[in-house]
Amino acid sequence: MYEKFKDLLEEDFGIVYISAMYNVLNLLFVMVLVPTQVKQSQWMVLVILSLLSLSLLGVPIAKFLSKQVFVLLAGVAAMFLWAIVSYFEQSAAFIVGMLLPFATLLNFRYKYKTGMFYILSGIFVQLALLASQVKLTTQDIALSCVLGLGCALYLLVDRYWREKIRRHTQEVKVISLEMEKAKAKIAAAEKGFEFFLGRFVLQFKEPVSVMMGINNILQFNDTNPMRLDFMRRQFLTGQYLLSEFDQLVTGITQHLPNTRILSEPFNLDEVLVVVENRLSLARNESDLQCEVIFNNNAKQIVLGDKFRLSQVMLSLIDVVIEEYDSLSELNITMSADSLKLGDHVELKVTIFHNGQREDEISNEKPDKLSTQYFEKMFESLGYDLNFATLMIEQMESTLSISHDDAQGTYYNFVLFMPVAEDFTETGVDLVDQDVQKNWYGELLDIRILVVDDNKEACFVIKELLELAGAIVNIEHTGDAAVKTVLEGETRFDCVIMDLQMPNMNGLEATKAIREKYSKFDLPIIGLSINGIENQLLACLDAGMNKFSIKPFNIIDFIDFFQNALKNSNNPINKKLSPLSDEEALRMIKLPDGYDVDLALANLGGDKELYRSILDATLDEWHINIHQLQSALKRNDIHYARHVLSRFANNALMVGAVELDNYLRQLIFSLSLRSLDQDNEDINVLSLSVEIEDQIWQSIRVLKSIADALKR
Amino acid sequence: MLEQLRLIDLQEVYDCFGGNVVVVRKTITRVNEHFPAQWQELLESIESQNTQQIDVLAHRLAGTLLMVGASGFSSYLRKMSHFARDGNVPTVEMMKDSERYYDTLIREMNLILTKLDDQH
Repeated sequence: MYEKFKDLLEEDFGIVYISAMYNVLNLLFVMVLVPTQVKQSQWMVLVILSLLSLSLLGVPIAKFLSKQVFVLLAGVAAMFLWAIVSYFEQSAAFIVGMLLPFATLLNFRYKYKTGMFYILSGIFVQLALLASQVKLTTQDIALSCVLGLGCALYLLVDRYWREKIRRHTQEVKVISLEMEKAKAKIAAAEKGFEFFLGRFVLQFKEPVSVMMGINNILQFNDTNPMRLDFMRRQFLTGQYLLSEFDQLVTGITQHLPNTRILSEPFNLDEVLVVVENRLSLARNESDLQCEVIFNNNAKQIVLGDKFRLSQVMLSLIDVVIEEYDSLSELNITMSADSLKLGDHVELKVTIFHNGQREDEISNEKPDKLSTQYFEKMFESLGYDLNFATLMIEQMESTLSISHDDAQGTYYNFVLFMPVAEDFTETGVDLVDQDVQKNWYGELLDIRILVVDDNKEACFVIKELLELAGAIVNIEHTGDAAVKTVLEGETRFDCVIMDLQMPNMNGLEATKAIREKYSKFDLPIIGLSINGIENQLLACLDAGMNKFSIKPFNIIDFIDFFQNALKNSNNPINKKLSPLSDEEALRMIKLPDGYDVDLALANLGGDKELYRSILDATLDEWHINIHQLQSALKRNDIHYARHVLSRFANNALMVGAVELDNYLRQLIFSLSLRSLDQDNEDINVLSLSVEIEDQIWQSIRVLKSIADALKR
Repeated sequence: MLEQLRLIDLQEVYDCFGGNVVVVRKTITRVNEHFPAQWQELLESIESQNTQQIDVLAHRLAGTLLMVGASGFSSYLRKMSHFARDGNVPTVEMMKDSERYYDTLIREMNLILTKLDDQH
């Protein structure tokens, strides 16, 4: 309790408390000490005056209410007092009744003036008592005066002392600011790490980030928004904040010699977010139409002071919002004309509004010479514009305002912000990665046709293949590719084919090429940005040797091509001996669960028979899998079991050992479930996905075995 | 203190290009030069609600983006392509997202090129 009271006294509201208590005590003093002297008709006046003074307690209460609610209450109180006091025609009490609400309202802007109002109101209370013909003894008056003088003295001392503390704060507290944090920072700075003042500020939220940052450094912690607003206004009068901010920075740099105040790279989008937040508040508070436009060039990573830029923007917006009550539209355009990277981005900020000041409407219009008019405005508009101007000056720029009654007002400033260049944290050294360079020349004199409607893709693939020594031709459509391969003079060693192309797609083109050239005569690699299962199968069915997902990888391609070349019937491969069946099977790297040797042994080592069984099995499975899908879809477990048995019958014969096991277990499990008629918990969907996955995987492997043996 | 590249996976580009910085640079330069015009073409087709054209262009741009390691943006355009293939025109929300991607991509490509210019 004591700590809380002490806090209240120490902060700005302490003055208000003291003056309020002064008035209350004054009245209580009179009412307690001299009750007998008060006539019955005058009691009402005293009660009203007491209520007035007690209403001052509304000030501390107001700190926990919203500003709007408090002003509303004050207004209601004023009306109530007006009515009562008018009834008794007590002129002195009337004046007091009018003064107090005014004093309360003014409290939010001018602390010391408010304090003086309270003192004055106290005097009026005394005058009212005198007017009511209450006879006070000399001691009563003396005690009352002591109370009044005490309060006045407190105000004076407080003001003097606070100023002194502030001056000290800049010199002393900065050094010892939040010592625990500061020590850590200093330790980091001494080790050569960079110390960034902005981090303090970054901890706080807009719209009072800078003020809160500094407040916090000066240990004015508070989270009550109304009080913060009050403090903000106190801090932002004139150049106070700026000088304090500068001295803060100077203090840190002086006392921490190893410290550098950095301009941290930031994205202008971050400023935009702050500005947008402020504008959305404005939109909610009024029907203001606000729009912010950033052109693309403005969205750069630049070096600079994000908070300062944000504050400039916010202050200007506040000027516009506060000063132009008839504002109908507020447009902010931020653009950067220059995109010269490694240099400076010239950031031009223009705030335009088409509203008019109220005084322009009601009063005589000012001189058209805008400069003079706005110079005058700079003085009178108070902290927001002044603050923005000085902030901009600190960023070595100027704020200019142009005004035309017919068109509106433009606030312009131009900042030069260096583009952030260093971005080594990409995790990649932007140099040749020599370790992979051994692929150069690996495709020497190999003729490759690249078919892709995407010119950028063709460009990249051509560049890479040429580095590898290949001779590259390019076609952008499937039909052109077919014509080149089938009718052209060049005999290609490989075709790289995009799948999705206008007119004739890659699959159609491959099928057309395959009518003349087999997989072993001319390898075709399918390229697509979609890696879906169906596409893979479609590619293999169409006759492609391999399917790759973009982007094109030169190392993978060379690996593939060299393997393909070994199996190729292409004349270029004359020097290479053809692979045996065993070698071909080894090349495809059979996964676990497949035993071709076992399958061959079961067939007496007859490879031709095995090959024909494999082909027949694959054909049958393609049909069976659709039957299985439809059976599972209609929850026909009995038929699904039947189809699965067909798969199982062939699986072992072609060497798919694990699939055989899996299917037999599954069939057994389904048999048990179908016997239990009440069992409803068969998750058909997940079962379907699992079975299909297993079978498709087997189909792929068996197809690769079949291809290898067809060679 | 320095910003990470958010859209472009430069390591992936290097891997695909066999570690050759010259091709990396050439590719990014080329995409950086041509992408804005192609993007504009896509926007125009969206404005004219030509879904067939949107499909083709978005798909093509998606392929281009994979070349510079912007797989996230590429995936986004692929979705747009599929969306258009079903006869739908991209929504305002989709376009807002894609504009954000676009701005970031251009900025990151410029940053990489600036860095490469400094080094060579």
